[in-house]
Amino acid sequence: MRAISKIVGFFAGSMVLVSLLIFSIVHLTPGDIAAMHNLSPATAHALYLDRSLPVQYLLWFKDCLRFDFGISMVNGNKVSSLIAEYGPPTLLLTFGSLFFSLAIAIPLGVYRGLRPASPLGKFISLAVYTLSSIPVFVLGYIVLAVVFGVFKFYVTAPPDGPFKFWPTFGYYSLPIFVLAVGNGTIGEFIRFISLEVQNINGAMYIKAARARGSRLWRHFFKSMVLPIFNIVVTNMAVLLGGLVVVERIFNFHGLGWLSWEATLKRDFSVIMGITLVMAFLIRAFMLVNDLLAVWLDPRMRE
Amino acid sequence: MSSRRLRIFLKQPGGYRILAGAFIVTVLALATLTGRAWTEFGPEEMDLQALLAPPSIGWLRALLTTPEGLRIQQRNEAGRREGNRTPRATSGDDENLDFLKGDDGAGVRGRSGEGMAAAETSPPGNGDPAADTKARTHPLGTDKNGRDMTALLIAGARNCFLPGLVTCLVALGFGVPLGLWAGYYGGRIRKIVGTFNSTILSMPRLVLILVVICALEPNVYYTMGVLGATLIPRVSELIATRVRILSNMGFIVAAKEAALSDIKILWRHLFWYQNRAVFFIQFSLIMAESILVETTLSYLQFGTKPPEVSWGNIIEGSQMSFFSGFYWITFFPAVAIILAILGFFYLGDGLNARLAYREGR
Amino acid sequence: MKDDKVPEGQPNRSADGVVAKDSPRDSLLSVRDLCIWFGGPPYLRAVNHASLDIGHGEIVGLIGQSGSGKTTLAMGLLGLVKGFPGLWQGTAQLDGKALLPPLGDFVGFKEGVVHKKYIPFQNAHRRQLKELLGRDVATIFQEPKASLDPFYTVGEHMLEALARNRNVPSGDPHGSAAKRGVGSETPKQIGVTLLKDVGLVDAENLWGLYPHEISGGMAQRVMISMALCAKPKLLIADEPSTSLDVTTQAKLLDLFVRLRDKHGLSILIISHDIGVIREISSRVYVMHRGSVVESGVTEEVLARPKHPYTASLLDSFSRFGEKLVPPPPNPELGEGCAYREMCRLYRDNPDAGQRGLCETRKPEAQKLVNESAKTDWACCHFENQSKSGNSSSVVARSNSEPPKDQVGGEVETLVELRGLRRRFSQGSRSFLALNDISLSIPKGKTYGLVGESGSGKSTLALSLMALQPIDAGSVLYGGKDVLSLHGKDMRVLRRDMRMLFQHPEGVLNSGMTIADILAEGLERERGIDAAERKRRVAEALEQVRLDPSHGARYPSNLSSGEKQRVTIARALITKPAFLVCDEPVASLDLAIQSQIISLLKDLQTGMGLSYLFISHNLALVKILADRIGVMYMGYLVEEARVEHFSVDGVRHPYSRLLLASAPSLHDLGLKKILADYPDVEPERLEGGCPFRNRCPLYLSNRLAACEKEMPALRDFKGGERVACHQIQPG
Repeated sequence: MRAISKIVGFFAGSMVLVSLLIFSIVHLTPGDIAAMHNLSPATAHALYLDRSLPVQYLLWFKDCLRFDFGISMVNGNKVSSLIAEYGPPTLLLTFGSLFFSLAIAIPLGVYRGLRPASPLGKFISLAVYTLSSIPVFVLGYIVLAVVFGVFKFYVTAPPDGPFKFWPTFGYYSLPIFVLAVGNGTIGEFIRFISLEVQNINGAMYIKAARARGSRLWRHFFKSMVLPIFNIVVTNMAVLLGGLVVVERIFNFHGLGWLSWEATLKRDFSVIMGITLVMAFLIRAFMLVNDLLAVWLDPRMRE
Repeated sequence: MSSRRLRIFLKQPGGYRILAGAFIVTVLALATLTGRAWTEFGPEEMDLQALLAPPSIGWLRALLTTPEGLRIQQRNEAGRREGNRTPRATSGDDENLDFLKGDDGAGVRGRSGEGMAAAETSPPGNGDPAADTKARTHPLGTDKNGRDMTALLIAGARNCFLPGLVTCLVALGFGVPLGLWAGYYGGRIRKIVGTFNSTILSMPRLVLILVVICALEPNVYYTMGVLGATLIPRVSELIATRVRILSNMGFIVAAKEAALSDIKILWRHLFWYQNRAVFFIQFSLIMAESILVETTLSYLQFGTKPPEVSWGNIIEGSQMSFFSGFYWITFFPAVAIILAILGFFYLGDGLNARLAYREGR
Repeated sequence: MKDDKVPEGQPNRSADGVVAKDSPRDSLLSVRDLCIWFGGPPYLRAVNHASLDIGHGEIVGLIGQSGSGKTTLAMGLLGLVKGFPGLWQGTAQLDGKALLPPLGDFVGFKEGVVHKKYIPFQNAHRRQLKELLGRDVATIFQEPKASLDPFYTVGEHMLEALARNRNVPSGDPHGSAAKRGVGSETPKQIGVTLLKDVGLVDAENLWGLYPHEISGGMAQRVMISMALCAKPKLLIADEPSTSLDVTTQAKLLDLFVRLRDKHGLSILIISHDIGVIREISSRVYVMHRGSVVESGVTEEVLARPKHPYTASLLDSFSRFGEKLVPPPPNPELGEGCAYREMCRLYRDNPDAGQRGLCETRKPEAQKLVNESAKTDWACCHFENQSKSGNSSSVVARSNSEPPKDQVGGEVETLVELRGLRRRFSQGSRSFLALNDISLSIPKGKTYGLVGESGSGKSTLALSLMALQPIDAGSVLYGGKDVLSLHGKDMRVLRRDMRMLFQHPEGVLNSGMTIADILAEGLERERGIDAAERKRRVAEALEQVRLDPSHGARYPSNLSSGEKQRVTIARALITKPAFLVCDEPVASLDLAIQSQIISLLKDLQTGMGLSYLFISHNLALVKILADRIGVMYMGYLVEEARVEHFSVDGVRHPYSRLLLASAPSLHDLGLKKILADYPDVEPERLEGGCPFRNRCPLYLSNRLAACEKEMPALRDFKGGERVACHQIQPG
């Protein structure tokens, strides 16, 4: 119980730190925000710009706890409703590419971990290195070129109306693929998983289990769950960062696209809101990871 | 190096990676330093006689051009011969996929109307032989403003190499001492550094950079400094972990037993003799990372701004030209980006493999 | 507990009806001419034409230095070597079943290059081997705690092992009723019985614990009971007690003998420790660089070694402190006898033809016809001339040396500890690592400190050197209070007090040359120019018998023995007067241990050094020390002069247990003493004497004082100090 309360406490504390960091980056830099956007006094008041900085922060943070990030400085829309509108496709994109990455990386990583010196293992290594160094936007071009040039087909608009599998799949598949491969996510997963498999394979208890003639997958499985979850969590930040580029290439209207547009227009409240939501998502994953570790690993319970 | 020693060098782990990486990095460094000497044209010079001239390497052109693109090119050339300018610009902001509209939409979209204007006013009517001789001096072709692609690429190399150095300066300059400090003293200091690190790590790097760009006037060196700051956690955690392992080996106790001062232990034992290699490996990997981010930011229009040239903004400015037949405007910068990143990545990774081998891991 | 071994040649009948075959000579495992290669080209021959037999119900020892290929031999048989499938030649049979498949067409192996690669372990054979593993052959390893999966409880491990036994119903409650054949016991009950069988009394409680919650000794017992789950015929124990404390080791070895008697188990014990082998095995095989060089009845072999290597191995065990020939620089396994470069017989033989034989031909096993046991043999060309050599020296370290420190009181005290106290806290728990330790170390003498792991020996060393803070107490060096010194005074003192560490790898910075490492000690001294520094470095290297040219090398180019010499040189370069040696040889091979010990001895006589020598190895401490202190759980429980430090001489019950547990070459009567001590785990008991849960005196008398307060050290006649309520001075 002590371990769990410690983890949850750390989660809350780090969220405060994150919000403080975001706030201070935006507000401690020189320049009058209200003047920059010619905000009306009413809007400035709604964004607490007329208060002193500490008060501003406290009020903003209090609103954030209620999922209220203020209003856009450019067009006055509520930021929370913008996020609610653009968030779901982004989540689908993120998790889609996460699962896609894992589906590819786990078998390849396990294989490379068990037989690092085999020809296929070496080929996987080479492919991993090369793929990891292609930037997302370059890969996006390559993929588009192939799809347009060869298949002459691509769904460019989000499917309307009731859910239909194929149009949705067509719309999401390319961004998912590019986000998973181009960001180095798959490569990172494969490298990490194969290293982990190698470590476990060399562990004394696996040797002992082998000498007993027991089935090894039980031991491998339980030892692998936490590391895999761990690498997923550490890659969440990279994945969410890659969204900005992917959504720009594919003209995909999600949070990444929104943050790109907000940066172009210097819409502070929007970009602050998005960053905070993303940080929350990542922190929540870290929280789950820590709790999972306590639950699964008997050594962590003390 | 004699061939035998080279062979031994290559046999050890990471040998080929180090060699390939070092080659690419050397070429990049030379391009940065000598730059202008390599090409006939400067990066800002517009050769109005040869707008959108294709690369003069025939085989590459045959290999890479789609039939459709070939058709457009042939038409362009025919048009040029007749004294007409065929590639018409279509203006507008939101048609990423504008070329789908048909052949006549196949133009080059640019953010700066200036280049287009230059194209409009270029004097018509080059003769056939003149165009051919001109084209020969643009080995990788020209862009829509008639700028030499080779010169652009070399100028771009400079603009991704130097910001990368800024990133390294920040990331290593702060990360290494912080890591040594946290690892050596442990306890509360380690906790404070850890909290700082985990705060930074819980935000997507690119989004955090966007926040900073939003807050400040975008300047590529400034942005790359922020990238360096976001990489501090990685460096400092790595170094701190290594220092902890070393101190578990009895290292620090033994050094203290020999009456060395803390500064000497930190600098000499923990950094110079033990983590020097890690420093260079991280330097290389961070360079790769920063090229990636710099080109990406330039592509997103937040990095290097025209008229300064970056590989990322060449691609951004030439959007979709790939599909309209002007493959070389997108293709060569893309190859340059991939090669540069791959080079630094291979170098760092190869050195890392060798270090692991030396340390018996 | 049975003390005596079942005599050779008698059938063993166990309680549950396992009947061993009539003759132990009718071998259960027979290995013929086995070779195993490692790695890719160039291949390394780890096992070289080894042959081995293990009879039913027999405990056989396999002994050799690290890297002699003894583990590879055993694990290679089971297909468990790294790089499986490897390359091998030869045959191996377990109870008539082939362990290795027939060889097919693998033959071409010349000069490290395989001409025709043969993939040996086909899937069919893999399956066949898997049938055997855990059923007919069980294995236990050196690191018991690492051998248990940290994610599963002891009970889950037991159930997994029981699932290998076809006669035990499966752990699955929905399993078919037909499977529930034998008795009505559930697997858990069977498992608990097995755990109790190996001496884990609290088995029900243990069932739900995770591996990190139990001690190393308990974990090894769990491993053994897992091995017993499927009623194997053969148990292979690879260094089963090396990572354990001596008292735990003694109990474990006893358990092996008991299991052999009860279940008719054959056991192959692999160890580098002659004491262990001597204590329980009836026959022994000696391995040297991949070859089995000698075999025979244990007592015969150890008393009258035929092969010169065995003799030298016994020498280094029994006569620490004598100079040995350094190991050969050339690790290549050529043709011919692998031992010849170190071999006395080869070196001193004037006959060139005889020597040529050693160089060109690997010696065949020579039956020793004039011996009683017919299987005894040794692989040596000099079989007839081989002296039964050092048998007399093996038997005992001569007691003829004059007793040291006869006039203990007159010697000047160099270092004095007064009431050292240190409390460690781990989370909510805290314990005293050092509890009012007071002792004094005379000038030019050696104070030995013994105790099991966790007794606070290393904490004491670090506190004494002011490398770790203490809560109370003081350290006096030549009258100065060490812990109150700062800055320059401290640096000057650090030149006088130096320390040797257990792992030289951790001390020597792998990026620095040896000369750089040594010169570091001179940095703070004034008036040392480059030439002087060079001279001092060369001098220090010569003092530890290393060539000055070693100065240009890096630590990774040195052997482990050379590294430890460098750490000694690193200490000597500042010309110290006092050296703390914290387990300086624990990570080294036996022969190298003896070299280092003899070096330390020479330095003491040559330079008048004083030592605080810390070790868990009693034999070592007895060689070097003049006074010996025994620590238990942070307390100094006894202090005695070395000549009194024997099973009969010591007074504290713990010291006696420690001495009786140490595997010994020449006293098997110690078991009677051990039988008095209960078989319980060490615990940190707060309040009162920490040893009372294992103390026969307390358990028989139940003195109230033992529970209330820790006894103070009291002076006894003859300069001893003992902390026990139940032993009175006089």
